[in-house]
Amino acid sequence: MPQQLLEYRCPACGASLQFDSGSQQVVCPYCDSTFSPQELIDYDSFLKEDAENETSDSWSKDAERWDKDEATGLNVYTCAACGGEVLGDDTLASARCPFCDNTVIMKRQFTGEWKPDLVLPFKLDRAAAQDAFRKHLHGKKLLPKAFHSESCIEEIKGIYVPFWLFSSDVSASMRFSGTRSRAWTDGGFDYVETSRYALLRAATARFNRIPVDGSLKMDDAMMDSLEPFDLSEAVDFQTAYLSGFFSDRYDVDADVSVERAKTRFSQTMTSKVAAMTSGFNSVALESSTISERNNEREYALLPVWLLHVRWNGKLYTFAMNGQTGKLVGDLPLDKGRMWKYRLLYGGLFAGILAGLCLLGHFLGCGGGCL
Amino acid sequence: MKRVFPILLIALLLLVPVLSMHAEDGRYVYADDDILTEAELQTVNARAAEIASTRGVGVYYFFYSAVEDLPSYIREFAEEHVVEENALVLGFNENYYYFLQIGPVAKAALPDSVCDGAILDAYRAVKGDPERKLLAYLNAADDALAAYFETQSGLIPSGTSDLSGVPANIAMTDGGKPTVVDREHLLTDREAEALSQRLKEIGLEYRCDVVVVTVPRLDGKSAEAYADDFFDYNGYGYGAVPNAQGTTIDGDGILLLLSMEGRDFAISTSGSAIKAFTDYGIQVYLEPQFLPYLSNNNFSDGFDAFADGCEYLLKTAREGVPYDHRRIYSEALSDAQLLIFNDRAESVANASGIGIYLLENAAADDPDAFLSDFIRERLLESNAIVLVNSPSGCALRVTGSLAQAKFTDAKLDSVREAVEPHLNRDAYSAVAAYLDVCEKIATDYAHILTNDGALPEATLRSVNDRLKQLYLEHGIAMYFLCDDTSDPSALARTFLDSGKVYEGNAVVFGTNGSACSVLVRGDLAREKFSEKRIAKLVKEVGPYLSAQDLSGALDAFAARGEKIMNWRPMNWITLFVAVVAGLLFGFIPVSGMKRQLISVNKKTSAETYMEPASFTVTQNSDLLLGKNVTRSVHVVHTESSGGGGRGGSGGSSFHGGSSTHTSSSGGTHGGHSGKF
Repeated sequence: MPQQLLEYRCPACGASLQFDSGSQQVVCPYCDSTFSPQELIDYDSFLKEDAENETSDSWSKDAERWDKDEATGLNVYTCAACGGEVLGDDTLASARCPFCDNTVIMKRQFTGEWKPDLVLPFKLDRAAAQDAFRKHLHGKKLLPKAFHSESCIEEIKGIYVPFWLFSSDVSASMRFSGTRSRAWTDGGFDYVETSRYALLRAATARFNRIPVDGSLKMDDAMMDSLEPFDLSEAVDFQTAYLSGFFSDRYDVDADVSVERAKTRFSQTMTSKVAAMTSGFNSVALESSTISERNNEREYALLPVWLLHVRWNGKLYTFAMNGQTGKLVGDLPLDKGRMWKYRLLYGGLFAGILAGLCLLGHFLGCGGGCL
Repeated sequence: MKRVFPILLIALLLLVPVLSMHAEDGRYVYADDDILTEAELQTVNARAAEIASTRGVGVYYFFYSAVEDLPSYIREFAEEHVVEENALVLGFNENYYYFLQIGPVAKAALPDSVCDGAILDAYRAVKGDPERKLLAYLNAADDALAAYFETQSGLIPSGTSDLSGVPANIAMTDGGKPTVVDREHLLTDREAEALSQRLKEIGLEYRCDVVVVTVPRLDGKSAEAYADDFFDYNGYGYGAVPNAQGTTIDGDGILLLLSMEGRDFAISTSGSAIKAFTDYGIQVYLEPQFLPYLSNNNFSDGFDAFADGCEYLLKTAREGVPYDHRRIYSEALSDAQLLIFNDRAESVANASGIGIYLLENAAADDPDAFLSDFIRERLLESNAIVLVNSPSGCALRVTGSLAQAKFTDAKLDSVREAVEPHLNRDAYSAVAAYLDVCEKIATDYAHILTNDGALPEATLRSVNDRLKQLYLEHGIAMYFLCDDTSDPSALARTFLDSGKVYEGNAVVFGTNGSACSVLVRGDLAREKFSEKRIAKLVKEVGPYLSAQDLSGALDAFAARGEKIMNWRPMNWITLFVAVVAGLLFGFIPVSGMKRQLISVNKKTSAETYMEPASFTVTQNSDLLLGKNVTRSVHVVHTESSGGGGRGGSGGSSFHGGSSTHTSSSGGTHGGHSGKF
């Protein structure tokens, strides 16, 4: 099946449209027209009969031109606006043409099993991501000074990252062995009475929409760190939201991803249930069973700004939650400054303690020390 | 009352020997001639005599129709006819009857309610035949007595059956009672035999029964009461006289009772053993010897230790002065007087660190040998002056360097002078004089010797006290000498070498008002009073001396001395540890800074995705699987009172001598009880 690249064009001037995260509308950067995503959908269906011809001719998957090894997972798309070649992997779903900066959306990536249930639109723009990055560097005492001045943001990309959302009724049933002791003294003897118990504890709870990153390209820990997303703001998926942003389709199956969600809610349930065993001198876990019911899963695209920063020849990656503005990413450590601070504080504390020692000594001998 | 009664009886017996003839015949029943035949009279008297011998209570009866004032007559009758210490008399005239109970056992066993109830009912229930009526009365009284002894002790008062079942190989006391009654079989046969032999030997040697008893439980009594009753009702006690109710009085003995149910023990002493085993001796010397063994269930060694302890305490008692924490002991003084003297000796010991002992020992043939033993084994302080007075002479000795320094030969002569006129004449005055003169010497502490009479007495004393306090705290004595001498150095040197300075560590400050010299003796004093510090001392005292202000000089001398003594070397290790710890503490805030750089972390929990209201507990139950109880010996951490030095304060809860109580049989016992 020929690959279909979809782009939205301004009904007024024909330029490529972009989704504006500030106003949550689709805007034309040339004639300042604004449309709601729904209007665009309607307009799109109106043009439907033309679209058939246009798209089938303009875009084709051109895998034949690549050697087998080289081409694994790589596809070349042709830009509808300028005819330039867009290079992308299997999962690329929307991108920008490097020649004319038009947004291209591969429609095939959003059909059938790949059709997302939800999309959480971007609320923050590129400038906000830059600000957040500068703020992130602020107040980090052990960050190399030069990082502030010499680091340069190589790339800022708004990406809709594919996430699986898992919801489930989880029940945990655990058995512990516990002991409780009582001690008393009578007639010159110490007595200790130890009672052994089997503690049976069970509880259920509802977990809603635990997000698990469904993209291999994205670092799992980094995506975890971006939480929380407010999914009550998520809307039914429309390709119109993707205008102006990159997006991927999932390449980790729900069946694989669900294991990570399971680990997380199991851990929470286990700790909650284990907390119900107070009042014993020692408690040891004997067995634990976790089961889920009423499982639901949703496929959602969540907004992430990805920043690539180059400093000292190394690439540092940062990610910002496109909804809340939370920015994460590990920063380099200045070892010299670390030791400087250690000595500074250490000297301070050592001085105080030594001072106290001397003071105690002098007070202790009534000032008679000569 | 108990004592008065036999005396009265004897007096009466002496006065009217004819009247007493009835009693000696064993007559218990008296009646108008026509009521009973001679044969019947013999039958009832025999029955009454049987009761008297088994129960120890005489049961009397008379019927004199002509008597008018029955209550007063019955008392006369009792004085004339009753021989037992405890007795019941039932008297009748034409119209009335009257019961009289004599002695504690009869009063307790046969109260009015019993007499007017069961006994009288039994008597009246028989109609006609006076012999049968009388036998009914005697039997009812016998039953009431039997019931009383049953409830009273659980021991059969005649005391034979309770000792039954003791193995034949157990050695007996002088009175023929087993020395070991091991109902709980804590000892093997061989151990029990060996122990009983040892106890028997101690008992014969010291004329005091030493008995060990183990029982399963106390039958509701206290351990102390059980031990007392066991002793009394089984007839223990060296030289015990069996009394009318089958118990013993005035026997000498000590009994150790163990009850395994509650792990109670009790020590009961009786007769002369009460004096030999003082409270202090039992609780401070004896119990620590054997209780640890018992707590560890090592009964054989525990009882052996008990035997050894008893032997030692009996030996000290026989040698004239029972083991006690008292410093003043004399048979001639009352307990109250001893208490006052001992309190005073204790306060002197606390103030000066020197114990003042005066022991009147009538038993010592060789006072010097006794004195040596006493000093070796029983002193509460390492510094003491001990005077032993016995009929064969008087010995006085001083021990410990501090005491020896204070009590010089001349001083000892003055002690002898003060005491000797009173010895063997007036014990109270002797002790009082002895304490007076010894206290003065022991607490004498003159540090300031000056020819300047202008110095007020109060200033002198306050500085003196201050220097004394410093000596007690730090062990360095400071002396201040002021004299019109041309060479203060020679003044100090002469003083230091004169023997007046008996402390090992001393500082002597000699001055003539313009120049001064300081001499230091002893390692401790030299360590504290270095050249530099002495220079500082001189510099501070000097200006006052130049200004002729002697009291100011003394104050400065004491104040600087105190500062110097309080000096202690800097603890460099502590300082080093403080610096290292401080440097390590520096890592704590820096690790916080390091953490700021890291913001990518894998999430392991899903807490935020849980619907808060949805958490429902579906099961929360505890099943008890089993219990077990372990027991271990309770370790009490007590402060040791340091043995030497200023000891003796540990015994403040003891008032000297033995405390006593009265047991159910009316006997007096000493002792102590507790848990093991």
